[in-house]
Amino acid sequence: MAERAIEPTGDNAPPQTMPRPLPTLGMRGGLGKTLLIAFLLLAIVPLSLLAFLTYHEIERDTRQKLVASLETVVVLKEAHLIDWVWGYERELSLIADALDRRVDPLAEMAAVQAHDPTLTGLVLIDRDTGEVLASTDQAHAMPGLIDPLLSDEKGLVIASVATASSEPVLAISYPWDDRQLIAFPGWDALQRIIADSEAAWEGSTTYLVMSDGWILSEEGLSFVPAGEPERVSQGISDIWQRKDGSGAYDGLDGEPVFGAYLWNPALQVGILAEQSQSQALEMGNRLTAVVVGATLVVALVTAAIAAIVTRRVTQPIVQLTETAAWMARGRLNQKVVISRNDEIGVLARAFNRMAAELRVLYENLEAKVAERTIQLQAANEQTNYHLIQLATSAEVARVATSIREIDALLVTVVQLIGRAFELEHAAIYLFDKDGALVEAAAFLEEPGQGLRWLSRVAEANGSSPLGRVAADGQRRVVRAGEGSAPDGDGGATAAARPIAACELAVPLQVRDRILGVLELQSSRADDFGENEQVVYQSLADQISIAIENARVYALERETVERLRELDRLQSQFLTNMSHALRTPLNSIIGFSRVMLKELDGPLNETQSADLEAIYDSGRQLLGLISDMLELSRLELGVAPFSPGEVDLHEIIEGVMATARALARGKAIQIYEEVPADMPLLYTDGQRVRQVILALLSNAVKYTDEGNIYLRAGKDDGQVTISVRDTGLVIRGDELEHIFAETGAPTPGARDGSPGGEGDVPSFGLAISKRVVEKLGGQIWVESIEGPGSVFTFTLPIRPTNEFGAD
Amino acid sequence: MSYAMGPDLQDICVLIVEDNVRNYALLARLLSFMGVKQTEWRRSGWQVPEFAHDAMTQVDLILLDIHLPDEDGYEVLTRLREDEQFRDTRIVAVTADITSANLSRAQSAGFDGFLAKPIDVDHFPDQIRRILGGEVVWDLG
Repeated sequence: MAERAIEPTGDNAPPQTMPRPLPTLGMRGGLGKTLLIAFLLLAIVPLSLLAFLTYHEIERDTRQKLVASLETVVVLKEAHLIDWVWGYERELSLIADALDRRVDPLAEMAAVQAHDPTLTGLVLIDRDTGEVLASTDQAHAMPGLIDPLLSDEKGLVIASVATASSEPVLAISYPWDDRQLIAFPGWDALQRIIADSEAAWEGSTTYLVMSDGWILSEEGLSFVPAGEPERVSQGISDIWQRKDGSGAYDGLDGEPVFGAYLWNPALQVGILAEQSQSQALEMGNRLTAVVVGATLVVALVTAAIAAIVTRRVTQPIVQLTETAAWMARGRLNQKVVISRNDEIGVLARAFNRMAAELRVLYENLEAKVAERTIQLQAANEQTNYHLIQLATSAEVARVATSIREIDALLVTVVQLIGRAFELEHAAIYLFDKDGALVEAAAFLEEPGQGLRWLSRVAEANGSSPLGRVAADGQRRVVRAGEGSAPDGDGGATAAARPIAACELAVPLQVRDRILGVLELQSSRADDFGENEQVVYQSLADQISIAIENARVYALERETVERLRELDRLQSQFLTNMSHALRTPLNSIIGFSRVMLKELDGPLNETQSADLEAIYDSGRQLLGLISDMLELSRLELGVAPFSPGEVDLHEIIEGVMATARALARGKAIQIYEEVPADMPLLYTDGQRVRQVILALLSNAVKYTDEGNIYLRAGKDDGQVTISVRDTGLVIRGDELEHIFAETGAPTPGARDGSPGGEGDVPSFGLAISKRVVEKLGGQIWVESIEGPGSVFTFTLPIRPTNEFGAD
Repeated sequence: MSYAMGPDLQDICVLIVEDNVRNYALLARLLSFMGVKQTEWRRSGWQVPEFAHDAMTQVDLILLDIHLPDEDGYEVLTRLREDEQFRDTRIVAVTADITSANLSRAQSAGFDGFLAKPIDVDHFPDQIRRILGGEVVWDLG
């Protein structure tokens, strides 16, 4: 038991019923997630913010730097241009000086041109006439080309001249005195200046913008009609409007650019430097990408570290939690494996210690519970056995008192005992009239095996255990294998006996008288121990008493039956006798009356008197017969009563008429004194009438003259009716016999009463007494002062029990 | 109520079923004093229908003793009532058994009257006349 109780917590024992999964996931998703999120938020949010600000700052800075750089480029280019122009001017002034010294202009000019390959041509003209004085290139000496270039100012002139190509002509004039020297540098030179990237930002493009729509870039000349500023960029448009500036806008090809520009009024050209925004910001973007990438890396690293840290923190806690959860489910053999020296390690060790203590406590508890369970079971079995004993005992007692019929009693009892104690067999043997022991009742666990027991009847009377128990009244146990000491029975009977583990025979005796044997067989070898024998003995004693009681009861019942039969016979006899007596009386009374009525002819006085005597005696005899019959019926309890609501006034009224008729011929006054408020009675009105009439008749009979008083009254729950006469006095010794069933004795003091009836006993009072008692009242007689007596009887207004029943 | 002979009873036929000859004699005498000319006597109920058939006579009144040999008055009454001829005949119980049990039995059996034995000679003519007049008379003696 102990092992079984502890088993569920054993090492390899899976939980008997798998409960819902433990909340481990919830743990990881709870504490771990919280920690991880906190870590990530703390790491990534500031980093992201920093990255964003950095990016923003870099872009702004790049922009500013770029624009400033472009502005510088523009200024530098202007300076270059001015320097370039001034170089030519100086060259031209040197030529002019040489010409003034009368040097051959053409040779000088050719020498210069040969020296400077950028010059495509050099022309000397007379300002006043416009005549070409000298020219190194005939193509430039055409008047159409020269005319617009005539100027009295030094400097660069870019003029749209109709030449072979439609490109404008780039010219630098140097007027002095009346002559003008014009140099035609190639566009290549200017283009080199423009394209010179030395001072430019990498990737920037520089344009020289002429006011008439020509634009020079490093790719060459291009033309944009100056009248359509919407077709050009903001920079070019501003230059055309002679404005300086810088900014971000869409370039000529539509690409967003940063640009810086200025207008040189002396040279009449604008310089524009542009840088593609995408190109310019590329570096910034690269930087931003580096920053974002670095941030991401840092975030990832942080996340990883956070995860590791979180796991390191939560794993032992989760482990602890899971363990605690298992322990809460009763699996106490839990151990947390955490080999750490930090707080969690301390917690784990404390937890393990606690679990170990709990396990020890629990195992102790289990062991104790198991021990107590065994004790309780033992006690319970004991109690159950006692309960069965008690219940069976009580049941036997109940059966003993409730079943009067002896055979039924015995059958019920053996079945009761056989079933309650789970016996194979239970039987009761009783001595019959001849002193032989016979089976009176038997219980078999399997009814079909009843034949096996037939031999037992014969056996019971031998010197078998049953027979010996019946002989000496000592109970015996026979166990299989011990031998039943077959004595004279021999082996044959023993072999025929059914195989039961043990047998108990208990004597049934009342005091010293042995009635029989209670025989029990059990299939349990250890049954019928000493304690159990005592129990069976007490059951046997109860059965004995029950048998004795049943026998006494049967005897009593037989007696009662016999008495009842006697009563019935007596009643029948009286009825028959009454009938038999009435038949001759019919003739005596009838014919004497016929004669007295002189129907048969006239009578003389003596005949008449004689017949009168016969007739009266016949009547008297008839009355006596009726009274005797009535009295005997009352005695036997077969007299009929029919109760109902009764008004005493009505009865007394009727009775008074009869009584007055009886008193006719005597000097008697009959008075009635009945209060008006007499209650209705629940009783037999005819019987009440019978009693009152009997008392009045009695009074009239013994009173020759005087008064008779009939009084009625009520008191607590009953009415009292009395009849008082002033007739003869009843002697004291007669009072007690006056209601006797042998008939009222002839009162001595009333001897010699007229009518010749005094010597005949009267049953009227005896009948009245029995009727009154049957109705639940009492009747008595009192002698009073002076002559006469008082007969009084009471009647309950509501009888407590229904009378008329036997 | 006397035994004065009246012409009213001269032609009626009274049947007396009685096992005691003296009782029959008394009843017959009393009836004759009343002027009844035809009074028949039978000892048992079985003879009543026979008589009626043989005599071809209508029976006006049957005085039936209860205590009879073989078959008691109740059985006779039951059998007679089943017969068409006696269904409405006045049938009166004449008996010495005046217990209330017997009286109530007679009442429920369907008798037209109940005369206790001994016969009250003084009241007999009046009772018979009333019974013949259709009344149901219960005399308990």
